[in-house]
Amino acid sequence: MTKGTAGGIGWGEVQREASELVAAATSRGAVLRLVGSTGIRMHCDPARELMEALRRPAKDIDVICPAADRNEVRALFEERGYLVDQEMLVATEGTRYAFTRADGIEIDLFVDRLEFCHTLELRERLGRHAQTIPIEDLLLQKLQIVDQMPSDLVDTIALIATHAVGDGDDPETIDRGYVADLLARDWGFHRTVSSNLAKFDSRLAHDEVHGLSAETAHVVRERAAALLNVIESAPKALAWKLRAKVGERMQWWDDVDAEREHY
Amino acid sequence: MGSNDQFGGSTPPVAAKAFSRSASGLTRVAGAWDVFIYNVGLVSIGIAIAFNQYYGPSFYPGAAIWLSTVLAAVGMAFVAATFYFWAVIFPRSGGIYVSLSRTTKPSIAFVCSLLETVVLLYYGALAASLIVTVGLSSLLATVGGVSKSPRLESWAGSVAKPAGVFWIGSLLLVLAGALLVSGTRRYFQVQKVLFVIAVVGTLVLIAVMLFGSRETFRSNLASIGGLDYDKVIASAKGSGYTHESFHFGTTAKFLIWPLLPLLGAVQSIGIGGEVKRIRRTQLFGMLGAVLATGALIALFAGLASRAFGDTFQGAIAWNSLNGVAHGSTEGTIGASPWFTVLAGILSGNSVIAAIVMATFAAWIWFWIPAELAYATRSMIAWSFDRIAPEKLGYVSRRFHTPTIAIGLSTAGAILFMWLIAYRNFALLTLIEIIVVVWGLTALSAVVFPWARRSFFEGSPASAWRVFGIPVMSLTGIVSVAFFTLAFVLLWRDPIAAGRMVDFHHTTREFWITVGVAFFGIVWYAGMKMYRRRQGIDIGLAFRQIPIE
Repeated sequence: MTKGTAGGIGWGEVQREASELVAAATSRGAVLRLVGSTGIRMHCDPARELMEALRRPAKDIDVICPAADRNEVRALFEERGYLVDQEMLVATEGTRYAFTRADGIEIDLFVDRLEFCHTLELRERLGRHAQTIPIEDLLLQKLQIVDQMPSDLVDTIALIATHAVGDGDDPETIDRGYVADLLARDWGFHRTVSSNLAKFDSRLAHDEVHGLSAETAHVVRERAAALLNVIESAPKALAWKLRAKVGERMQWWDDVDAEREHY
Repeated sequence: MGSNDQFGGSTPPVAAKAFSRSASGLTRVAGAWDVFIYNVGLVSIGIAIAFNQYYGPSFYPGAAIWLSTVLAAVGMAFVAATFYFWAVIFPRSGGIYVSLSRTTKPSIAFVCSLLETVVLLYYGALAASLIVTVGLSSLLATVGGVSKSPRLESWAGSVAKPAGVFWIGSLLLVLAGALLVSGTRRYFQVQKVLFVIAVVGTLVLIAVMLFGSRETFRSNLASIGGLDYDKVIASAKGSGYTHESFHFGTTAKFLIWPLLPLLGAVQSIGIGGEVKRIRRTQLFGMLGAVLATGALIALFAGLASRAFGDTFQGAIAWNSLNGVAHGSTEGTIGASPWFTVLAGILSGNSVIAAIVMATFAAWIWFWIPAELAYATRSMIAWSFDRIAPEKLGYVSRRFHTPTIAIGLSTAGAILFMWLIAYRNFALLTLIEIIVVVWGLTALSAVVFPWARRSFFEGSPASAWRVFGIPVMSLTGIVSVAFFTLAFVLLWRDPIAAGRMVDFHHTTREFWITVGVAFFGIVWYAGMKMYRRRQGIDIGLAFRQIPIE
């Protein structure tokens, strides 16, 4: 069992709480799905096992729900002893919530979409997996980060190493058509994702991920290259082409505040 | 910043400093254009031009209005730079309260912020009343005059009566409050659309002014306005109006009129927590707004001078303000000779006249939700610092916005609306309070790099130096000097503002100021005691930064 970092909470507690939250929301008729590193761990056993092997701890619980269910989900969390962050309520106006509990578990609740360096619309995709968002979206939420931290790289590797890239509705296969289609409409998103995929070779060569076997690294390189190839060859939308004319002269991502700012 | 490690990435260790707060991986709402539009809207080009062209040529003979505007804009550029530094040092919502509370006494900051809030709510209400009088009434009167419709002219008179001003003005305030309740994103989206409309309308107006000749105006004034150009001037001169050639002293004295709207160009300091890429965005938003609106308002002074003539503008406004019979448009088409009315007459076309009037109404509208938003952010900042009840920071589960703070701001503005409509409450003197409060904010900027040295050194503002002296202090010095000049000019000018108090009399503005300040001091002391009984030291809040 991997120990968590927040308040000394272990992965077992985080996993149990996350599962109970999703189940409790479902029993109340609300849709709630896990995202982030906890979502990756709970999407399937192979991903969790690889993350544990790579010593990637669970930190907190990140979840998403549709806008129609946010009040129900909030009520559920409050009934389970979580306190909502009032300042976040004012700042985000119903698009995001933060909760903490006395035992140290922290929850970030997103609504309809994940808005960071790039925006991932998920409202129509929340029902595709029983506990988490689809595997493609778990991957994209990591690949949309402009300055990926080593931990983000580990999460990305865990996903790609344990899931084939292909077509169709198999929930354990990364749907390359969905990814390519999404990025063909947004030049900025495409720019960030393709850049991150293209960096795999050098980052793996520099041994940024300790404990990764050569065999797994090879699989990751192959799959990343295959996904990148599909992304690049997909026909692009007019908006994509127009934005491409501007290129990097204009910032192509949204800024995201650091977790803690000091002044 | 392009990282978002909220999904579990590690955070690099950072040395603890005096002020820190979890920012929680947020993406902020307001981009550069949102902030620019927010500030330009708070300048309200419509109000600026209307006031400039109405009061300038009539009561300040010899003033070059364009130059007064440029002087005011230059002064405000230094204020914008000073406020910009505050905005990047404290990128949080709450206006001057944020910087003052962290650099002076919290009690002083609260009282200043409370005074500022009351005054800004008054100006929100004033804007709503101006939409009715300068915008709607003038529109109905001018379009009625151009299209020969007595019914529209009758409506123009009706809406300008106290009941019309109060009810329509209050409706506008409620609409602005409802817009804020619907969310900040929607607010910015609506403002963007209105901004485009206002800019297009302004371009139409510039075309009207450029292509309309003095002869056309004289002719239309007679046929539409029922007035003879030369007789208007003659009747004004007969009642004491004088027109003089350029005089720099008078030009300088007049700068307080364009200053009133230009003060709005720096108010994005109030929404700092919602601004993306704060250094670039606030710089563009504040300095860009000062320079762009200053140039545009000055341009209109030149265009108006060319199309209508300074002497005529002064004469007809003089007649209007002094009730000279048969010397102004009130007696013929039923509306005061605001710039909008004269431009509508110049166009000689009811459609273009309607576009001109609607454009001005749109410009004035920007003031209303923006002032309410600013006041709301201040209230929430007080609430999170526990100086005000937690309920002020309450976020509705239905609307997901701070409905109580927005409702309170709207209600306060409606109260002022009632006073404006039924008690003839026209108190530009209240601008003196803003000048003092913001002057104090500028003064604290002068000493901040030394008084809070370690804090300043760790901020982005420390990179800006001239010969080793922080630019923040230098712009602060100029801002204090500029505000001091503005205060003296306001104090000595009974047309624009006048003395709040002297040995012989006290004004309503004085008692408002004293009353609000007294209330603020008592409130702060009471809340401090109340919180202490709850076991809460509200002083601890001032070691953090207020709301996102």
